[in-house]
Amino acid sequence: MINVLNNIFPHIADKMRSFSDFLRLIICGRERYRELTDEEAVRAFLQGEQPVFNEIVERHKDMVFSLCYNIMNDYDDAHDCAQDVFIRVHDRLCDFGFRSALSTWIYKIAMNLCRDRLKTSYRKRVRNFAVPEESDRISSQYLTPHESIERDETENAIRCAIEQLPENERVLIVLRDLEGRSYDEIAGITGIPEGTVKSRLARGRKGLRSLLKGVI
Amino acid sequence: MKCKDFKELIDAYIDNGLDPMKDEEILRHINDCSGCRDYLQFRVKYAAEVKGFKRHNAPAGFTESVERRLRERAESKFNMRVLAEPFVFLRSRFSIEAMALAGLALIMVIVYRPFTVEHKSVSEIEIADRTVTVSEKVRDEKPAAENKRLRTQVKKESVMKDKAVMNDIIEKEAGSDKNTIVSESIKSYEPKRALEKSGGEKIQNKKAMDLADAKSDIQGEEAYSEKKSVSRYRKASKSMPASIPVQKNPEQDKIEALLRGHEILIVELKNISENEYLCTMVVKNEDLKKIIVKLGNSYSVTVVKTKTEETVSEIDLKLKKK
Repeated sequence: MINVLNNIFPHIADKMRSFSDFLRLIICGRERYRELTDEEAVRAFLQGEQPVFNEIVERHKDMVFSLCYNIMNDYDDAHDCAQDVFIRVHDRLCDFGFRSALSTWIYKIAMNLCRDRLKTSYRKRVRNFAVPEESDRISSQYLTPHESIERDETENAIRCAIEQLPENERVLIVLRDLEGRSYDEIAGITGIPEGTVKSRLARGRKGLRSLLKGVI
Repeated sequence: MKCKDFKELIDAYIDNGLDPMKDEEILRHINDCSGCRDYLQFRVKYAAEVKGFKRHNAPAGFTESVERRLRERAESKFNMRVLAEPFVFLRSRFSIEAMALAGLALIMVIVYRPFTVEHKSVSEIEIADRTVTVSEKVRDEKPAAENKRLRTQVKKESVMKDKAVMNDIIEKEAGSDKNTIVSESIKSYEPKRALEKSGGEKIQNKKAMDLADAKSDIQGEEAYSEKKSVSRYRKASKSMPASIPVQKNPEQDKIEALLRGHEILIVELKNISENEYLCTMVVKNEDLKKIIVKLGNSYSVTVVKTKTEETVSEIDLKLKKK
């Protein structure tokens, strides 16, 4: 139809084409953004497409929230901290140099923010041990109630032990053991040489072993 | 192989998801080393526990809450920008320098008061138009360059003014009664020239002559010359400027009434005691005796001092009421 119009009324055909593009943007906007890679999404954002940032948040929110929760060991703190991470990402996305993966870059920001919060008196307030939603308990759904309770207790004990570690060892334990990041990634995120990462991890595990004596 | 190396090997197995118990070398070592055996047990259990940890994902509506916070922040930033708009000059690179310059200028204005001097000079010119006394004041002030210029201007203007006053008086005198005693404040402005023009018929006021001398000096020179002849006049004019009404001695009216018909000028009348006065007056030489006789009817008169000139005399009399 547009081809027919194009021959007869080229102006109207042009307008219809641009209008159809506009409609496609509204209806299929989210889908279009989902097709983009991280780098493409960042470039689109830097070119002024603000809605693409929501897609970036959607992609990395769980990773960031998990890291924040594992480091802060508090649900509300993790929620606030994760939001702050994405606000900082929004502000500094223009500084992203495409030298590393976007996830690594965001991870770095998240980790630095968590470390800053740990250093301040922010954590001194009363802890909120909010129970996570039932849907999050994927790993415990096949366990008996007794096993589930036992596992929760062990998890709490390990988390409390990790919390008692020095901040530099704690972050590395979280990244390696809880988040499952490789030594190479950890070195990239923290800016610490790989050998130092390994030695600090060994020291941290030794500390955990003494703290968890009788539990594991 | 040392224990440290075995621990690293165990870590490597576990990190890679392999079972270290399948390594024969490790099995041989842990049979002999209880420390490494305990470590291996801990690492295997710890890895299994950690692997089973619940994963905490971001709650529902997380993206929307981030979006909302970003929007709120942008709005508050915009509001702050709007509020800060009038003070945008403070963000200027030169704002500090500009403010420092403005402050310096303000201090200069406060210290040197450049505008106040101008204002003062204008007011003084206005006053100088009315009285010679003000020009004297100006003369007494600091001999600054500005004041010097001003003083010269004031002198010229006052002389011009005096000329005008003189002409008025001449006209007035020509039409008025010869016996009228002209008030001292007006007479003090009469220069000698005006008295000479009247051909000796007018009152030849000594003080007025002195003033005329002084003014001729002003016209000729830049500064005032302190002549003895005008010093007394100046004293009197300082204490009694023309704009201030002269406080007459009540006795003066009586004396003037007593000497009606004679042309006299009472320059000064002071109370020595309750009934004693010291009177300084200028009279015509021909009337001198008659005046003393007339005064003698009411007072006991003692002539203290007499200074005679061509047609007039200045006499100091001591009068005591009878």
